Amino acid sequence: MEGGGLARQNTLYIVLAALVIIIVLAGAYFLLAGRGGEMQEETTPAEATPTAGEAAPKEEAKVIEINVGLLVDETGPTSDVGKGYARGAEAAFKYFNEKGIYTKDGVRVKINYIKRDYAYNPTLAEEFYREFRDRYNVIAVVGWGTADTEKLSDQVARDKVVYISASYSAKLVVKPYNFFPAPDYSTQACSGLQWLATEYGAGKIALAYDHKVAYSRSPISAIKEAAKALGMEVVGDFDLPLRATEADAERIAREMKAADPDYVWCGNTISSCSLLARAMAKVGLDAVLLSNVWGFDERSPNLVGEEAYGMVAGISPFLYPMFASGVEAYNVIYEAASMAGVPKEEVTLRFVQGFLNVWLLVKAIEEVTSQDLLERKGEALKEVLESRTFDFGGITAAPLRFQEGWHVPYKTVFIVFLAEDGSLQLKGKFTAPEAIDCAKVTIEGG
Amino acid sequence: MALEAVDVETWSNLIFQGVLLGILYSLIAMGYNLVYRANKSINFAVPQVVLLAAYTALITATATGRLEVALASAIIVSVAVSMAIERGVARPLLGRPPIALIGATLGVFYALKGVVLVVGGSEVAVLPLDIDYYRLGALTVATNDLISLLGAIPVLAGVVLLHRKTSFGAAMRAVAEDAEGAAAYGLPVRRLMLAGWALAGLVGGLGSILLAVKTQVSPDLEYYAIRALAASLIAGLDSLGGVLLGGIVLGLAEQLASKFLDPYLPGIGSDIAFLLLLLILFVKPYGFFGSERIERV
Repeated sequence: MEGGGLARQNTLYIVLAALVIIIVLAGAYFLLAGRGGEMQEETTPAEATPTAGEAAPKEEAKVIEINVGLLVDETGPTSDVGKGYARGAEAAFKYFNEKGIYTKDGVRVKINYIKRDYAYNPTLAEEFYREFRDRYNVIAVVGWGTADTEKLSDQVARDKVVYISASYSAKLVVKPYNFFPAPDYSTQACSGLQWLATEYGAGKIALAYDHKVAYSRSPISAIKEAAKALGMEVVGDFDLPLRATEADAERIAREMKAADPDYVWCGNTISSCSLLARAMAKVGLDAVLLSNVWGFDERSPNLVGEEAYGMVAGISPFLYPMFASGVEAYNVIYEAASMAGVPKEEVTLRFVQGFLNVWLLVKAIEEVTSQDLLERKGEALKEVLESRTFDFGGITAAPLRFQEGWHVPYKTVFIVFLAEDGSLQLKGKFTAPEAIDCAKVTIEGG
Repeated sequence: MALEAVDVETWSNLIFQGVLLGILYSLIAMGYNLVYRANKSINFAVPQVVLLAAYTALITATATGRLEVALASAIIVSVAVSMAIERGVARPLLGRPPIALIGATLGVFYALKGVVLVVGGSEVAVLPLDIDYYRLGALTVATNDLISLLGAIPVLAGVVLLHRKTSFGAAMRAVAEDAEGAAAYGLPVRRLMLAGWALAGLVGGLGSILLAVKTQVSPDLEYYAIRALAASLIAGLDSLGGVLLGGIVLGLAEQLASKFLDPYLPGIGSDIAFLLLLLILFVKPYGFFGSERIERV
C-alpha cells in the first residue's frame, strides 16, 4: 500500500514537472517569437546581416534585399485589435516575397521584415525605431499606434524613412513621410456623423473616449465642429478608459443617460466600446452607438449582446471580408492568408488592415526603379506615393491619392450596422460634410 | 461634481458595482495570500494563470457551448498549473530568501504570457450566457452580476471556513506559522504546501471565470489580477478573511475615484489601487489584518 502510494505520488510529481517544463519551454519560445518575430524563414537575412538594409544588389540573382520594420502591439492594451493586424501584415510580407515584388525596371525585391512587439509603449517604440534604423537600416516601417507614430513622425522625416501606420491620426497627414491607406480618424468620424444625420437626423451626441490616450482623443475637436455643422448638439465628453471595466462602462452609461443623447460616439477599441454598448442596454440608454474603425468589427455581435442589437454601428474605410463577394482584389488577400495557414473565415477586418499597409508599401516599391530604391530609398518611395493613384479594387472605400503635404488619400468610409437580428449590414459609403475640413480642424486644434 | 448632485440610483449602482468588483478582486487576492502563507513569498505568476484559465474556459465554452464545462476546464488548468509551479519552481527554492521565489514566479509570468498568447491569441470574446436585466428599486442587476456574486461569496466563505474550522485548515495554519515546527510534529509539510498552491489555483481559476462572466474574456483580465495584488497587500498578505475587506475597499475606491476625481485627474480610477496601497502601507506596513513579523537578533 505504502509503495503503491509512493509510486502514485512520484508519477504525479513527474507529470507535474513535465507540465512545468513544457509550459516554460513553450512560453519562452513563443514569447521570443512574439517579441522578435524573427523566425528564420521570415527574416533570416535581416537578423543575420544587420546591414542588409543598405539594399545591396545581388547581381547574379538580380534581387535587391531591403529591410522593413514591423511595429505591432500583440501584448499591450490595444492587442484586442493588434494581434489580427500583425497577422495580416506578416501574411502580406510572406505572400509578396513569395509571389515576387519587382521594381519598375524588373528587378526583384525581397523584403526582410523585422517584427517588434512594443506593447503600445511609445518609449519602447522609439527604442525599436532606433534599432530598425541603426541596426537594420530600414527604408520603411509598418507601424501601429497614434502616440508613438506621432512622436516618431519628425524623426522619420529627418531619416527619410517611409512610415505606414495603423494610426490614422489627422496630425500625421501633414508629415512628409507618414502614410496610411485610409482617411484620417477625424475625417472618418465626420463621415460617420454624416451617416447619423442622414439616417436619423440631427440630434444630441455624447462622446466616450479615453481622455489620456492620443488615439482616442484624436478626432474629438473635429467631431465637435462637424456636429455643429450638421445641427447636432454635443452633450458631454465622458472618460471611458481604453481598459474599461464593466463597472466603468456602466457608470459612464448612467452619466450619459442623464444627458439624454440620441447618439454616442465611442473612440476606443473593441473591448471597451462593446462593454459600453452592453452597459447602455443595461441602463436603458436608448441611443445609437457609433464606434470608430478600431471599436467595431466582426466580433461585435457576440460582444455587445442581444440587448444592444439594432443600436450599434461602426465606421470602416475598408470593406469587411463578409461583404466582399465578387470583389476580385480580395482573392489576393485570401491567397496570402491561405499561404500563411490562415483559413478564409479567419480573414477579418483587422487582418485586412495589416495586409493593406504592407500592400501599399509593395505597390510603391513596384513603381520605383531599382536604382532609386537603392540610392534614394525612402525618398523615392515617398515621391511615388505622392504621385500615383493606388487602387485596391474596391477593398478601400475609394482609390488612394496622396498629395505632397496632405496625405488624406480619400474621404469616404463604409458604415456597418448591427441589425436587430444580430447580422451585420453594410449601410453604404458616406463622406464627411463638405462644409468642414475635419483633418484641418484637428491639426489646427493642436 | 458635488456629492449632493448624485441621485440615489447612481449611488446605489455605483456602490453595488464597486462591492461586486471588490468581491471578485478578493477571490483573486486570496490566491496571493494562500501562496504567501505556504511559502512566505508572492506568486507573481497569478495574473497569467488567471488569463490562461479564462482562455481555456473560452475555448471549451466555444467547443461545447456549456458554461459548466468551461468552468470545470478553467479550474482544472488553473489548479494544475499552480501545482506545477509549486513542484517545479517553489519547492526547489524552499529555504531560499523570498526574493528568489518572487524572481522565479516573475519568470513563470513571462513564460505563461507566451503560452497565453498562443492559446488565446489576444482574443476578445464573451462566454455563452443569456443576460437579462432586473430592476430592484434603484438598482439594476444583470444575470452576470448575480452569477459573479453568488459564485464568489460561497467560495470565499468556504476557503475561510476550511482554514478556520477543519483539521486540514489547522494543519495549513500550522505550516503557515512555522513550517519547521509543523514538520517536527509530523505534519506532511510539503503536501500541505502543495495543497495551498492547489487551493490558490482553485480560487484563481474560479475568480477568472467569474470575472470573464462579469466582463469579457480578454487580455485585460491580467490587469484585474494585478490590481488584486493591491487588495491582498491592503488586507495583509497572511490574512485570508481580510482579503474580502481589502477587495471591497479597492473596488469601491476605484468606482468612487472614477466618478468624482476623474474630471480632475483623468484615469485615476485605474491607478487608485496602487495609490491607496501606498497610503495604507505607510500607516499599516503589514496591511489592515496582516500580522507584524518581529525579527529577533
